[in-house]
Amino acid sequence: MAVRMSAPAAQAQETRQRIGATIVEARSVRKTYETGAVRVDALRGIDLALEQGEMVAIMGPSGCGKTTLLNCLSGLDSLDGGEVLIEGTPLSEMSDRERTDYRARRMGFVFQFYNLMPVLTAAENVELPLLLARASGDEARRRALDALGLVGLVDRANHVPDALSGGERQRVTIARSLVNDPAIVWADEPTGDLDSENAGEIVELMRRLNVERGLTFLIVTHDIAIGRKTDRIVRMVDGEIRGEEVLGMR
Amino acid sequence: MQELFGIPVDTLLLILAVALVVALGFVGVLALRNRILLKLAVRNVGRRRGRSALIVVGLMLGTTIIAAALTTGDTMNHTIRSTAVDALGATDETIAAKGAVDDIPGALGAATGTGWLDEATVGWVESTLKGSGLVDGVTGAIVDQVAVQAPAERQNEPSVVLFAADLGRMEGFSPIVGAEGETLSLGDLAPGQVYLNRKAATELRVAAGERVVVFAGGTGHEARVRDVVRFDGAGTADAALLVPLEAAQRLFGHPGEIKAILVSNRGDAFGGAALSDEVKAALDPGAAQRGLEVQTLKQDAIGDADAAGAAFIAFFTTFGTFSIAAGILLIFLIFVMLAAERRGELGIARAIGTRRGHLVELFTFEGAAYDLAAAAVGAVLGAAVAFGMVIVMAQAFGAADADEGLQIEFAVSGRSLVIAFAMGVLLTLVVVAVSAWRVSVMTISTAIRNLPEPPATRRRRRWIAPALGVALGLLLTVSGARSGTATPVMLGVSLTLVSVVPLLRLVGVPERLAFTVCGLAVVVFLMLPWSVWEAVFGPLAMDFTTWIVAGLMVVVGTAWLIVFNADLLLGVVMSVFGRIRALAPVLRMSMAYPLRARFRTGTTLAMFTLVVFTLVTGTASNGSFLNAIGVEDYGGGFQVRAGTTGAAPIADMAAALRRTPGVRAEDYPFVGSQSVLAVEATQLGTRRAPETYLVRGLDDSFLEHTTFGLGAVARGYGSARDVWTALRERPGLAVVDSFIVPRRDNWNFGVPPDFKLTGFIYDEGSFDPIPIEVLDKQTGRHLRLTVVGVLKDTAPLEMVGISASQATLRRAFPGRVRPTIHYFGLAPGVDAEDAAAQLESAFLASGLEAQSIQDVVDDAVAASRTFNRLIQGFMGLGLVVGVAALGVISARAVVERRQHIGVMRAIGFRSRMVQSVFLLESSFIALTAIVVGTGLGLLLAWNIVRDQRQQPSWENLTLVVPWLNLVVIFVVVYAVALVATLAPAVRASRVRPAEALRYQ
Repeated sequence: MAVRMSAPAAQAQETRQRIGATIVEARSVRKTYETGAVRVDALRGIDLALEQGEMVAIMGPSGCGKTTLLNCLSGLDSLDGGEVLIEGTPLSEMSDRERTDYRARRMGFVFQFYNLMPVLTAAENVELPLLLARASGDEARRRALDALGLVGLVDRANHVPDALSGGERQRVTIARSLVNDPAIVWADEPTGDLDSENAGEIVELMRRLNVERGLTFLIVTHDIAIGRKTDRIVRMVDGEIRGEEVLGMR
Repeated sequence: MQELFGIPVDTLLLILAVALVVALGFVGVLALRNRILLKLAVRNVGRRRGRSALIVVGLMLGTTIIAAALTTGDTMNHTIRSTAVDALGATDETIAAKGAVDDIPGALGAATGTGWLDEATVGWVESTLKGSGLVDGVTGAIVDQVAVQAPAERQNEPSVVLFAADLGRMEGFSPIVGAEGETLSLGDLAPGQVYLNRKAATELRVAAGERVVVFAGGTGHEARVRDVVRFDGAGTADAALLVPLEAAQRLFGHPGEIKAILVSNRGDAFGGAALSDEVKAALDPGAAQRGLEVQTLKQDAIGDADAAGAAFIAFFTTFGTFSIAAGILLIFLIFVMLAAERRGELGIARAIGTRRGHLVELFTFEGAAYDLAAAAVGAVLGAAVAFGMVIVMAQAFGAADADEGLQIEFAVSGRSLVIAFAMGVLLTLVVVAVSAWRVSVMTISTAIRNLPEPPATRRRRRWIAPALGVALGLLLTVSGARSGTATPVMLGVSLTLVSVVPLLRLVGVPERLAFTVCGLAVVVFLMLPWSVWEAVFGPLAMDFTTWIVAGLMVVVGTAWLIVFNADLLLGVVMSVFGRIRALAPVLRMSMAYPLRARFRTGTTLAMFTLVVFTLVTGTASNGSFLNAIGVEDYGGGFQVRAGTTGAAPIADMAAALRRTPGVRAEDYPFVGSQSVLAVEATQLGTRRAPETYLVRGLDDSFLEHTTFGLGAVARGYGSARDVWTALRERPGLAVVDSFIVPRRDNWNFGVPPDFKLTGFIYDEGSFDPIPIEVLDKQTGRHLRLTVVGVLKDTAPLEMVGISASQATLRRAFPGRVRPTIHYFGLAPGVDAEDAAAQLESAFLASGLEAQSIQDVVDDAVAASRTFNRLIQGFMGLGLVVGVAALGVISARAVVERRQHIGVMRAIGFRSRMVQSVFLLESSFIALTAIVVGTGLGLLLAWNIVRDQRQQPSWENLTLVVPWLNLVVIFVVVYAVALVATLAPAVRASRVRPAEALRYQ
């Protein structure tokens, strides 16, 4: 796999500093779907490791298993084979409740269609993970506004999602994903529903958070422009990893 | 049943059948023209069977309630008819002395001096009807009350009907069937032998061969029971004794005489009654010449049965109106939600060229499929519900009238089921069509993407409809105020306020402010004390429609008020319970959805609140009235009451007490006596025809000691005491019961007596004395009376009639009004139950039946309580609607929010927390409805009690809230609501986040 490096030396230095220990590790992960008589091997023995502070893009054609991999790694979906270790702990050893609590404390999610709660305001959406972590109401509100400040949306805090643009909604989603200081943020096609200008802004925002706050990102995307903004691109075809492209300095 | 909702049943059936055929035919033609839409609709029905079943449950409730009401009517009709057949058998008419067979319920006691007929008169009847082909049996008979004693068993039965008929003329009448099923004859009885029917044998605890003593005309005669038989037509459905005519004539000392001629028409037990008019027409001229009267007993009984059945239907449909209204809301909600679920595919259908009308058709086809299934199930279920109600009613009537033993028998007619089915189908179809039209209005571009519908563009002339609403509201208000009718006033004021909302919105008033102000105004206006309404609009007449309108409109106002201000309510909840950190995220999510989904929250809340409100109002106000009934109201100052047979009256009970061995006369310091007589009465100065009614002769002692209260007194009299004293001192004065007087408000479902007074309003409490005239048909003697008082509503049925002094009646109708009813005042320390038993035993020869007033009150209250519970249960059917609505909403929410659930799970909501979100959402609606509905219901009940306390009958009325009863009902309902939500909630909690997030 060719390696292309165009980042300035300072950024490379920063990257080197922030990337640390392995935070997520997939070992021979398999996942099969059965729909009636049809059996689809969505993941066929995936091995992958994400380092702390890394920003990785998973790319590949539709149906190659990108989202399935994200779901399996983040504990949203079960595995049919192999193992996923999160911060050294096998997911299989965690109960559903433990996985859920882990997601609440240590993970953030960004989805293509934002998936904000339409009945909550931007601030309330962002507060939700904090309330789940049993923060007090006041603290949750303060930290939610801080998070919205990070994504530049403090003035839209009391708007419901329907009153926000697509780009704004995705920024609220990002604010929600980082409000609980997660160890890793999973992003599934975060710019898939946005125009190029908004998409660029969102990627820049994620990159900034990755650099400034050391957040680990795993981004599933079709968009090579986004991929090029990450540290590493993992290419998938038919449920298998067919190659990697390291873009940042390791 | 002949009439339903005032329309002949057959006509109603025809109208509904035609409407059903036309409606379904129309839908069918549309379906044939657009088969692809039909195919889509049918496939949608089968796509999600669980939800289709839920929809069918939701749609069937209205039909169930209608069917239950109709079946209850059928049952009462059947019961009364059966009782009539038990009592009359094949007898369709009787010919007797004028006025002899007029039977007024609650008479307690009997008229005296009823004329006897020469046995030869039977021949005249036979010859008159001979060759007419109308009848198949004519016989002379004696049917009268006797007392029977079974000495060996030490059992007394003071009230047994003796039936005696001509041995040779029993053909055409019901057979006498022996214990082994063999047909017996009165001719089989040897001298001194009698037959007893099963009830008499049971009560006396005797069997064939045992000895009894029959007391007729005050004298005891020994007899032996030949057999225990079954015989319809003994003149009673209760205890009866059968003897040959000759034996009865000897017992009563009237050889060669009879009391009545019984006629059996051609045809079966009911069919024969159709010939009654012809038989009566043939006999009337000759009967009049002989001073006799032809009574069409069977026909009258069938008429009474129909009227009672119709009254029950009116009663239950009125109380079921709220549940039916809630059911209609549920149907609307179901279809709107169904459309919301399919919004995307409907948008695509519109995009590729489906017209709006096609969408309406599509939904109507699907709705019709659910509708037909739901109405069929609902009709059958309604009959099942009615069966349960009948069991409760049987208890109620049993408790009230254990001696009479009205045996309620479940019955359901095909006509009722068809009517309920047709009404259910048509009602649902209309609601489905309206909701289909509503959901077909969509913006295609947003529907395709499943985005919310953008706000409607401002149409020109949007003010017209609300302005018309305001105008109509004002018109109703003015017309109601002018006619002094409460319902149009309430409806008018409410309609005006409701119509003001869109006008306020048009001039830019914020949505929340407009709905809040108008909703609050509706609630406040309708909940104002009645005195305020009457101060503004003058006296207003109320009936059940007032309650229905007020209930519906109050709930609309309340739903607006809550839905548009729920954030404040929930803010309070959140600030209290949100401090519990483990609860905070669950609370936030569970409150957010109901807050945003105003339509479905408001509709469900309205359904639930409506039913709770009416249930609480009904329970609290009925309970209050029931609680206000006391011994004093029922006893009128006496502690025991008793009645004797007309054949053996006790003229001077006080003297009889003194001379009867075994009776301690000092236990009875005062006794009041009454006579009763069926008369024809008319109010003088009116042109109304005389109607059969009852006069009571109250002796001086009764008038001196009675404390029966009066609800209205004639001007010139200060109090009830003044009136009773005046009756004693001045001949020609009378007091009447409150059933026959006009009143402003009408809360009655029962069939009113034909005789009525006019010219004043009972509610006003005073009136000018009213002259009336009564006629004893047997003697042809008239008596003019002046009505100077009207009894309170709390007086017992046994005081129904025109009460004058005994002296007045004795002078007017000599020999006809000997006292047969006695009221006993007891010395301190004397037990009323013991006294009643002692009196029955002492005066068995006179057939005296006694009961302590406390016993009477207990029976009446127990019966009323049971009946109240039945009404509660029936009204509680509406709660099923609310529960079903919550189930439907929750099921829909799981589908609708699948992705949100995925996100919740992704960001850290445990599966139990997701489940709790759904349960709390339902709890929010159910608990709000329970609390608000209870509050409003109690407020209205308090208003009712407060208003009634101004009425003379209910000065001591206080609001009594059966809290335990209500708490039990609501805990059960809340639990059931949670159970209804539990399945969707569990389904939601099991949503796998990865799958949920996969689809947009």
